[in-house]
Amino acid sequence: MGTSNRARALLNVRNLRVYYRVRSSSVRAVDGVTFDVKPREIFSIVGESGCGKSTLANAIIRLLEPPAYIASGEVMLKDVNLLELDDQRINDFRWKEISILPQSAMNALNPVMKVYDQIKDGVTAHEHRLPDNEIKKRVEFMANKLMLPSYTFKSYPCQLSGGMRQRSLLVLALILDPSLVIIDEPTSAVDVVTQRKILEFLRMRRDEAGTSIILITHDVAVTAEIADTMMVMYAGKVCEIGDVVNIFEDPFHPYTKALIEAVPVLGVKSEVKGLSGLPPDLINPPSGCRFHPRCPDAIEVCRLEEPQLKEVKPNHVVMCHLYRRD
Amino acid sequence: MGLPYVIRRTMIYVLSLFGGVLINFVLPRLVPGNPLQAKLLELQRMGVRVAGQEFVDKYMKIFGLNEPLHIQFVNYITSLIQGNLGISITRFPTEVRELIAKHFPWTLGLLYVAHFTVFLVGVILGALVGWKSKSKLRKGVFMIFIILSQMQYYTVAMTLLYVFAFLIPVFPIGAAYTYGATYGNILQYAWDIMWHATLPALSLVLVGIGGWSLAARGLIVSVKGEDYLILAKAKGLSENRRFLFYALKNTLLPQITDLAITMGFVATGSILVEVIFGYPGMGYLLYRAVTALDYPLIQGISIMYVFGVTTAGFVVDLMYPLIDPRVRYE
Amino acid sequence: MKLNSSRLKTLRNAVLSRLSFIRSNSYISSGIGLLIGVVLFGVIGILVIPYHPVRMGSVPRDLAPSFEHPLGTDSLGRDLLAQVCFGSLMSLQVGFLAGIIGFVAALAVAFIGGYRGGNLDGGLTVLTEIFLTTPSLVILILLASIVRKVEILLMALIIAIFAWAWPAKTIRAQVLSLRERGFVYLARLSGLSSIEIIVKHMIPNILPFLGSYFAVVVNAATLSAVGLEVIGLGPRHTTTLGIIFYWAMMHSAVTRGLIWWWLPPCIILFLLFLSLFLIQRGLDEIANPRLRGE
Repeated sequence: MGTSNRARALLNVRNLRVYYRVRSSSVRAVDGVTFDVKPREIFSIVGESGCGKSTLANAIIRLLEPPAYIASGEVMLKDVNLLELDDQRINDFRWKEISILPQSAMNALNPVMKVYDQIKDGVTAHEHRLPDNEIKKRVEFMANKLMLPSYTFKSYPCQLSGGMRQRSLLVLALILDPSLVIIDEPTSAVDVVTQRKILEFLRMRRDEAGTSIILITHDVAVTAEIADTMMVMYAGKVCEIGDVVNIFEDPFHPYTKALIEAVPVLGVKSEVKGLSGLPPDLINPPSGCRFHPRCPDAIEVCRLEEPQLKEVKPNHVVMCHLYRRD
Repeated sequence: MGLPYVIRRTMIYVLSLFGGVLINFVLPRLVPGNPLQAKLLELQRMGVRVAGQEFVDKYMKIFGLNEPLHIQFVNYITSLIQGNLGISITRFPTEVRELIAKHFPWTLGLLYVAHFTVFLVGVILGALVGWKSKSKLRKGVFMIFIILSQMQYYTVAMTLLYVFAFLIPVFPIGAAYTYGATYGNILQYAWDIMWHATLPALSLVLVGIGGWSLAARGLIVSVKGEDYLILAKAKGLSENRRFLFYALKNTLLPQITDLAITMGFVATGSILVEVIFGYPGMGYLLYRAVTALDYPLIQGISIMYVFGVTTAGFVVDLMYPLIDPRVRYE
Repeated sequence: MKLNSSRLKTLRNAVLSRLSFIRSNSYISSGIGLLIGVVLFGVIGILVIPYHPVRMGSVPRDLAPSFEHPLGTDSLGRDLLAQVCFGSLMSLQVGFLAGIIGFVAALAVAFIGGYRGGNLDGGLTVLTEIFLTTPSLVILILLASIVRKVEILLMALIIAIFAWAWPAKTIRAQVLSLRERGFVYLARLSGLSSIEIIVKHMIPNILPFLGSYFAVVVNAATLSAVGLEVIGLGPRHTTTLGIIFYWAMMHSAVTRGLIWWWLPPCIILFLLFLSLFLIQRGLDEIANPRLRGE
């Protein structure tokens, strides 16, 4: 991303490396990721399972548990490096500035507390003076938009369906009106109808409240539907970052091309193409570009050298030797 | 709480009670010969002057031993329901239920105090150790209690008795209160009782904590990895709140059912403790009954134990779904 | 299955590799070491000590510990060290015998009920619950006081009557979860008989669990045995650690300050229980790797 955009960005991630300690070596789950998220933006991170996107999300919000650890890099939210904050200060940031909707909603709610109480204690941990009916108002407002019945919040999680739990978590994530919400796979465990509601709600938040959303998904179609910017990840590395429409019309990176071509198009009777091979071992990743063993356009240098991020169009970067300027 | 659950627990309860009663009834009658006769023979051997056959016949009638078996069983059950547990042989003509009534409160007091203390201390200690496993102090205390639990009741009881009643006579050697003492007021009586009960209660508590804390630790450790705890951290909740409401609360409820199951275990452990301290509870009474082979008394006490333990378990089983939402809405 | 030399070799290697894993686990190795230590203590004691552990009046009474009688003698004229050594072995015998009988019965109940399911399973679980919730020691006391002339085998059988209940319940839980696993389904499809599936496929998969449960059962059985013995309902004409304790109590060993009478059996029992506890913890860790690293 160009330096001219840096000042306007909400979140700067620079060269983030997150490894998992495994016996004597490390799994390099996230290996040098750099990107920016602007205010009022839906930023989608797309990739296969195991490419590191969830690890990246957890790292940003500082929820990593051993054996995961941050090897290097910085995460700047509103000019504060989240990785350098001590436990006391990070708690101030949590939920007020940045929140998360985790991947498996099934188990993310405390089974022995009513849903409302779990939302309330998230609020009172940060804003003690907010009166109860004020909280209730906010909850009701969002519940209406998400079409959640009122009994949802008086219930225990085990009484609710998966979709209702997912939406409750969404209310929880947005209750303090954070500037940035990370949403990890919001659509994989729910039916299409709930999917639609959630996506519409997210779009509304961005437009009306100015919330930025990092949307993590392996579903390219969802990205196409609501994201503004998308980042394609593979094996812990960034492949391509750019405007969604631009990327769909004209993908640069071979992996991005394969991803987009793998999605069937309505009305077009063509063969759905996939990629051969499997994602690489992240303890001993392939030399040079990590994608080269599966890349249909690989050239000699791909095996030898890691490519650098290059801006190929305004606000559009690619990490691939095919596009390096000579 | 579904109806099938209630039916099932009730069935188990009733069958357990019935099984206990049946065993109580059948066993003594399996011994060849007439128990009354055997007792009289034994007394005779010890040199006691014993009356003749008509004496035996008369008491056979009193004990109802000359009826056919199934009639005896029905009689037995009816008398049980009426609360009649027979007459003690060794303390004839004192009724069994009278003896039990005299000794029961001591066991009850000891057991309840000990059991609940053990539960509270054990669970909290175990939870704390499981939550913050790095603290050396917590771990050390934890290990001490585990070791104490492996030493079992008799070792700890004897050691306490030896050290604190013999070597350094701080506490009394035994009994529940000082015999033949007069008290100025109820407070003095209460103090005397507590002074006597300290070592027995301490034996039960010190040994029992280990098992509970081990279980509690395991539960907290398994809960620590759950998604809702990670989200609680993401919400920025304080560590105390996460520990108490998100971790501990999720582990407490299942452990409450264990409370009833382990009541049986503590009850039997208290038998040993009472015997060692000469504490006049049901366990001590049972011990004396066994030594003297006072079958009606042995049976009466056994039935009381079975009834007490299974009923407590039954009550907890029925109450539990009311407090745990996960079970309630299954 | 033909038993030729190459097959034997692979079997031997498989067993050895499994064993080495066990050896590297410190809980199990220390537990087994401790257990072996107690056994050796008993065995060597019996071989070396010239006094009879049970015959009363074989030595002078109430002697304090000395070179001749390292633990002194009791009020019935018996050398205490001989008693403790012999008693250790007897206690081990009762505990393991009761444990084995109870465990085998539990295996049968758990697999028959858990595998077959249906009404048979329902009936067996109710039966298990009944035996589980009844206070065992009380019924054991009742039984033992009626039977009176108890020997080691009979005592083990009596204890086993209740010892089977807990392992039956826990093993059944394992069987239920195993039954749903893919490989069991495949085995059934391929026409293997139920017994073959259970023995060749299911049991090997839960061996660490089974080992852990067995240690618990032996622990509980020994404890029950001691409970009976301390009240005076132990096996006749022999001595066990619990019986030594019983006599010590009967002769007011505490108030007479005869600490060498009641303390040694307590210590040996403690070591016994500790060893079984360590073995159980170690096997638990192998079965459930998440417990490691605590």
